[in-house]
Amino acid sequence: MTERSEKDDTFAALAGPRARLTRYPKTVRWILCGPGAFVAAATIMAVLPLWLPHGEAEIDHLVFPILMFPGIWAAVFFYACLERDIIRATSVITALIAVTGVMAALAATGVLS
Amino acid sequence: MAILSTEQTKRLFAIHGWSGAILGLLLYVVALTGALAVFAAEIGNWANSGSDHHDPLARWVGVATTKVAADIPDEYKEEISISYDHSGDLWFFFHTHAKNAAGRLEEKGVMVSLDTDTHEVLSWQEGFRSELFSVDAADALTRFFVDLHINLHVPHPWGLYLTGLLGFVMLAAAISGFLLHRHFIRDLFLAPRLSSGLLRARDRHILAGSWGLLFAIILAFTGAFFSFATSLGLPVVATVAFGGDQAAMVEAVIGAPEAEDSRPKLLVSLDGVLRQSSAMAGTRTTFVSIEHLGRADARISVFHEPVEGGFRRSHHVFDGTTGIFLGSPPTLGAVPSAGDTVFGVMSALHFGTFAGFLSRMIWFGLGLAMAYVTVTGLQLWLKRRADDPAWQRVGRLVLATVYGLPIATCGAALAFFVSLPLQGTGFWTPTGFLISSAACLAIAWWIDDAHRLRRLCRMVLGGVLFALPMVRFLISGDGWIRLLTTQNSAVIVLDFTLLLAGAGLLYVTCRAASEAPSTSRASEAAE
Repeated sequence: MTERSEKDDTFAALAGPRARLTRYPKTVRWILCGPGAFVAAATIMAVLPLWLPHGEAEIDHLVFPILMFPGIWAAVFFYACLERDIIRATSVITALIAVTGVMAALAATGVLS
Repeated sequence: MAILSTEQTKRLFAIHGWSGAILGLLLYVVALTGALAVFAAEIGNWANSGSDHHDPLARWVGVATTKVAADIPDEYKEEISISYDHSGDLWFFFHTHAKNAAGRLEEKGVMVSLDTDTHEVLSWQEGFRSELFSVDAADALTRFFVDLHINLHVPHPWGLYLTGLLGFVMLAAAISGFLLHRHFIRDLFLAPRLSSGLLRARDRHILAGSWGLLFAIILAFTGAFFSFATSLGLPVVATVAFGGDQAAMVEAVIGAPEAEDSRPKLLVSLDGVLRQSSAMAGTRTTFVSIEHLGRADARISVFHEPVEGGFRRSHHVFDGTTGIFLGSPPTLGAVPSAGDTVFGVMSALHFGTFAGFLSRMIWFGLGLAMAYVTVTGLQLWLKRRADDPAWQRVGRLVLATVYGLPIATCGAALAFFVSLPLQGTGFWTPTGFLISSAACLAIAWWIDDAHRLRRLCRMVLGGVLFALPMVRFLISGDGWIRLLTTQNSAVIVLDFTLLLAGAGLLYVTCRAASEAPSTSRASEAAE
């Protein structure tokens, strides 16, 4: 009987979520297209005021994120639907939510402006 | 149209079908009421048998304001909103801002309605805005179906979330429909095949969907924006940009208030200001707002309808003590900006007001086409599952909703007319809708045969459509000759349209019933 190395355990830990994603692709796809796309669109809308130009009236960075919300949702939704690699789709959308969510939280607490 | 793998195509089909199957009926309600809302002003005018006043705010409003203001407590003179209803009566809302029972800041004050000619007080109510606006008897019918379109009468903010999600569903269905099209141009001229019911339903769905595709995307996008803007967008952006202070964000968007000057000073002649504003705009005055009545910092804001062919309403601001014109501020921000322009374009595209009556007619027609696409999509879904008893029951529910919504809307209009002399329209209009809806659902539950159910629904719909103009005439006593002499021809046009639609539907249904041989009933029922 061979002993499991530390490297094997890391691979096994990483293979767990990957295996689950590929075992239930339809469920994962529905989650990505439904709540995933909505949350990603909301967090992207939340951080856009940090990046968009303010404009002469100092309102463009506040108005455009709200105006663009349905478009952002549609882009994320159809990406989640059409991406062939379910692991890549999950990674991209999770990363989007994580990065924009953290930035939005930092902005809300005054760390970012 | 697009190059997609078999797997991607299957996924798009699943999204296109299931999104419609799950929320299709609600989408149909929003689409049909949205088409009606394009002509909300005309329908409101028709429901009140027209008005003798075509520009009520041009008739000595200043005199009326002074008369009413004398009896109003000073705490409510912070702001006055002046408007008129579909019967031409003037409405004044003297108000301040206070927290309501739910802890939200809301306008609170006294709402007074006056007869436009005699300035006789017709009603006097005190309370919060949300309570007071439900007492306006003349606008009850239009307010009912416009609210049905905006939030499906679900409490705030859940109704807006729901209609926003329906906007997303429509957007997903329209874009996936476009991606699934292989021959988009050819489908614009598709002749529905008669060889089988399934093919005919599919061809009809594709034909109507192809013509309304761009419109569906525009409406879904703008509709989702309007639903989520205040219910989700504003709080989220305010949280990030202003630490959650929505009031600070609203102030940034609409401009900071001017420095206060509470020294007492008389208001300038309001009628003079309104005449000057009307001359500048060239269109009818729709709304007037006076801030700080009786103070040195009083401001008068006057809003006018857009000029013919234009899509933005005019907004003029005057000094309330000198009457000097101070400018035309944009809707958003203190100076013109890209954000304000795009917001204006979004409004015009959603409401179809960018090219006057013609664009509204087109928007109405395309709105009906969207409702038709939703229904044919649902029919197609059901035909593919016709052997399943559960889906057969859903089929009867779809039929009851498709015909039930227009029947219930007519039921609401009938209840509105009957309760109008009693000033009880605020209660009876939605009650009429609910009773009619319940009756349609009960009939659909009771009648198993889809063919009989459809024929009965068509007969009832034709009957109520035909009856509406007659009930309007019986209640109001305003015939076509009087309406012509008072320049209310729009009421006659609507009367005529309803009579024609009702008679046409009755004729077609009776003719089909007499011609259809009993042997073909089973195949028809499946459709």
